[in-house]
Amino acid sequence: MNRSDTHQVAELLRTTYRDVEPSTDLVEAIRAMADSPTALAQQDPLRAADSPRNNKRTWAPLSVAAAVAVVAVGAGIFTITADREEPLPPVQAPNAVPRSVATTTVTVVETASVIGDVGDLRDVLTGLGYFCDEPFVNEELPSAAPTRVICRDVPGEPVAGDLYVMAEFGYSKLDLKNVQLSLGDTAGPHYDGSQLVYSKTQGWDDGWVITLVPGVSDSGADKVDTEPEVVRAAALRIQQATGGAIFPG
Amino acid sequence: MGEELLTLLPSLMGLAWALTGSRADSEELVQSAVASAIPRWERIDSPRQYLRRTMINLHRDSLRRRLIVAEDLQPSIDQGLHQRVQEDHGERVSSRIDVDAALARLPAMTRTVLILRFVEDLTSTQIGRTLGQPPGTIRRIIHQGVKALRQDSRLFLDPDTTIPESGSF
Repeated sequence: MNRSDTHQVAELLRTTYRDVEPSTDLVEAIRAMADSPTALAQQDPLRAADSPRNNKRTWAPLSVAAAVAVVAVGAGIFTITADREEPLPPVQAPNAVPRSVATTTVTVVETASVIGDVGDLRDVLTGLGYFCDEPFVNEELPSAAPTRVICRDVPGEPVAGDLYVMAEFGYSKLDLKNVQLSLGDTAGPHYDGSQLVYSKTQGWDDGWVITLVPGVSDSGADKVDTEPEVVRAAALRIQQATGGAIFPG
Repeated sequence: MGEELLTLLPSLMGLAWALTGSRADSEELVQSAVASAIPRWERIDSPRQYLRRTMINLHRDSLRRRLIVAEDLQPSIDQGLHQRVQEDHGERVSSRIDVDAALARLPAMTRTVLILRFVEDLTSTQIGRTLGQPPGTIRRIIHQGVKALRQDSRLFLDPDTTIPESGSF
């Protein structure tokens, strides 16, 4: 394919799609929305005063999470919940035998302006000093959009003990605001994402939960490779780096 | 805000139409994106970029919903084309319909990438950042997309022109 081919296709697309005149109806609708932003804000589920989400938002920022609610649920399972009335079920690794898992769950108030997709999150994590793989593309989705990125705290091939952050993006009504982070170590099972996808009860559908899961070890059950404090510290770093956009304070 | 939004509308409509293949769907997409942006307007640094990304995300979501309910996409595309024949009476109508149809035959990601590259004039790196793909992947998608369109006999009179495998963008 030569430049002439590219030029012809480019010209065709530009001619066809650049600057399509909107209908009068659309112009009027946009003008009306712009003239009444308050009405839209009230309809915005993120802001509506009567939003069920807001009504139950009683959570505290992660930075003081330890002071809010640390619930030890047998077998070494720790859960910090924010706006849930019921304790969240622990996230289990695939094919997991009983393991010790520390889970930190926080509510994201708004990520859209900072985190638009996996690439953005990758940038954030890179800025934090993580070394990120290329985003994973799920070919089964129609858009073949990247939905996952894994970042480690040291460059190169993962070795046991490395911390990593894995982010999963979902596709819901709120679209790519869905993000779930998993923090663990590479000695543990490499999450294939399924355990996060299955965690719909943790907010997959409403897209407002980030779950940090420290790694669990293949080397033996009941072994916690990453202490909850490490998870909290990492989350705090992300909070600070994003100006609270992910974990608003 | 209002005037700025209205100024952006034609370019947003172009992108939306290219993504959805119909005026009705594109106007709905633009309106949804604007409705999402207005409550946050004061905090949006680049409205055009924000709205562009929002539209792409909303469109992806729409595609996924269609997949979930196992709808056949083709009838909706055909319906959209038929609707446009009735809507548009300009000289460009047949050309637009041909291009819409050609784009509709491409994978959604390819369609999006081509529009961002050639209509929005983004670089491969910028597209990669928008879609979360490495630039190399974007260049490959552009190459394949251009090749597919170039070989579409309904768009070009000489589609059989030899197209080597390599290209640069």
